[in-house]
Amino acid sequence: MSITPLPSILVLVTNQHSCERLIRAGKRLTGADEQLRVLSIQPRKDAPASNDALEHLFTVSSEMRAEMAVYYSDAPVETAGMYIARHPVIRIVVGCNPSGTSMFIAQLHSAFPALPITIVQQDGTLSELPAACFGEETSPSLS
Amino acid sequence: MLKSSFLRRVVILVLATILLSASLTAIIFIPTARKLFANMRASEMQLKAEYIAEQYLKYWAGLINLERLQAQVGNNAAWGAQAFLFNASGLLEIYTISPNTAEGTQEREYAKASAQAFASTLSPHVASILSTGEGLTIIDSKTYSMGYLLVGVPVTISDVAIGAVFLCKPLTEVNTSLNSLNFALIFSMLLVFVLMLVPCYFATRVLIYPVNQMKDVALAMAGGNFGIRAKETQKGEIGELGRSLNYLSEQLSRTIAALDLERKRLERIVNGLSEGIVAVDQNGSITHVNPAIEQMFGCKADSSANRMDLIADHSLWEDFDSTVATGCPVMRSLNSGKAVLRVSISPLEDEEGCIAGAVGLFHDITESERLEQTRRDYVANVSHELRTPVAAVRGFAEALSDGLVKTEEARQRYYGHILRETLRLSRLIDDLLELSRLQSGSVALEKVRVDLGDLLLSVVDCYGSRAEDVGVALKSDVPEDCPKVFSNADRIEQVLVILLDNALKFTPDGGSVAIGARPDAEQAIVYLSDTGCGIDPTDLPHVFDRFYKADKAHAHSGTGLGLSIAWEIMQLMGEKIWVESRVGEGTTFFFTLHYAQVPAKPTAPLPGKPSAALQPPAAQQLPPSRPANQRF
Repeated sequence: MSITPLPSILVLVTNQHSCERLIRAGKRLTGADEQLRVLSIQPRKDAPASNDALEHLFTVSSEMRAEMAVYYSDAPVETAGMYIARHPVIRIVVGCNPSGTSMFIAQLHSAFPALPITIVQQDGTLSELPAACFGEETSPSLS
Repeated sequence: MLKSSFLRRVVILVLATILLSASLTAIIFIPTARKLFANMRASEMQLKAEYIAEQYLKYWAGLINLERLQAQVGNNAAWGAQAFLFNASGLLEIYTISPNTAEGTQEREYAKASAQAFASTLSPHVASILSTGEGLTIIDSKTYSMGYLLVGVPVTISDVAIGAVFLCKPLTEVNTSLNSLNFALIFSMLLVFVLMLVPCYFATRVLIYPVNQMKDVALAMAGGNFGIRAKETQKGEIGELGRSLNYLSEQLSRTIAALDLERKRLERIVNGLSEGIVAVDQNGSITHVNPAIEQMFGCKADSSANRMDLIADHSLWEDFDSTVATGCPVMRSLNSGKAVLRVSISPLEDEEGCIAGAVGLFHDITESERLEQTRRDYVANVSHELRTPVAAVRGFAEALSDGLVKTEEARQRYYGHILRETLRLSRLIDDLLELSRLQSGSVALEKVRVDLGDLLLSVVDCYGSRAEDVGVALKSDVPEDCPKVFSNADRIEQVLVILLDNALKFTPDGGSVAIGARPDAEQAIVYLSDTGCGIDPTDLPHVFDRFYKADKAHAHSGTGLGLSIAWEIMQLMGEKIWVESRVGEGTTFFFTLHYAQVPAKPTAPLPGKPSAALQPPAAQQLPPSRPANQRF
């Protein structure tokens, strides 16, 4: 018996406690018939150790009924692409780099141009890519 | 006969050596011998030719006449060859023919014609001898069918050639001698070949036997039999080989035994782990599953099982495949029913550093998650319980301080509120400290002989009036022959008061609470039952947890620590406490007390004792159904 996976909202996090807000934002964006997934890609040299921040994010994910995975890889874009290709991801939620640009998000957007990417700003507001992180005119806020 | 490859090869090698030797001998010997034989014949013929030349000189000097010369030259039989004598002009003067041909016969005429024809072919040689004055020897194996041997010598006077003598004979004689010699050579070699066949075979068999025996030993070793030994008695390399093989067997036996022991030890460890372990090979097929997986997923831990039959989560196996393909470890969460699992998937590398598979460690974090939640709830509860009276006290005190309360009567009422809230705070703090003391194991209890009947009746008497105040009938169910117990009366009374306080809170007006005891085989069982609404089955496992309140609405007062304290006290005294409840019918708490006549162990603080939340009551019973909204 095969189980058809639900459409997923994918939250990409780093190993910081503050990424909890991304998971909570992802939860708010997750519909009734959708699955919240949390993905973190850490440098391979850190494997297989976890840390307090990741443990906290695991706890938060569990609280949010989200499935969380940590991949230890030195090719984050490829790994994220592989994960997205494997799951029916319909939206990506990421945090915004304080400097305003993110090569990772740009590459991800380039790899999956049809996939909407929601940026969670420092102040908690949500914006759609590409405006938020590329200095273009900001698209209508989701929050 | 030659089933053994080694034997066959040795025999073939020996025979091939003989054959090769014979062949090389024949190849080298035959041409060499042919030339040698021809040269020997040529030397003989040269002497004879020189004799004929001397006779011709005598004829030329007039010492003998032509008839005499012809008589001296004679026929072929005299020289064993055909002789030809040429004069200074190169003309044939005398030649010999076979003596077997009679004069005047056609055969003789034919022989003469043949001789003359052959003599004509010698013209170039004649001219050469007459011009140079030097003899010659020709071995011609190509002309004519058998070839011929030709020797020519000059007839000279004062170094001037005045004629030439040739002796010619076919090589038949040389070839016949040579063939006889070749036949003898080949025959002797074949004889050696045949004669060496049998000794070779038996010599090789002698060599092969210990090798075969060692082969059997090696095969037995490969099959796991390290008790078998090769023969070491033979001298030389074979004996050393046997000793080496036996040493190898011994070392392998030890190494494999050590590896087997280590494998079993690791298997026991892996199988004994509470964490589940699944290992897959480079094709993603399951190679090992430990029993913990069976408990986690309710499947049979069988390494030959289909992986989706083992754990029906496609994304999990994709992560395994990803780790095998990329070598990147993965850590992920996994929900299996109500259980929350943390899965760590790491690549397995072989000795060359290539990915040979992956191993997944399944850690059930359901309990730790629950404990974490309990901790958060505990902090929230303590904060809440402390904040409420503190806020009330603060509000009353601020009102008094600001002079907002004008009348003495109101001030007294406010003081009364402050006092009650302070007492409430004090009770909470006392309970927290009591629980902390009990859980730390630093409390020592003195056990003495206690009259259980008197103790229970005393509690009934003390709390009878309070029960009447809330409209509940407090009944005594204490038998007349209630046994003496070995315990601490103060602590028993403390537990009874906690249980009675709870019962009175949750028993509606008109209900009843009964305190009693009944003897058991080794201990007395004290019970306190009420006719309240009972406890919901989902709350029943947690009634002894700190701050756990089945009454989620907090409709009743209380710190939520009473039953936790009761649990800790009973644990400290080495007794058990448990609860049975039915929704709508009531709840009964039980606890044990050991008889006084039973030798009792001295009660000491319990170091490292886990908390009630970590270790739910072992004897706790879960009734099939109970009411909700009951608070402890």
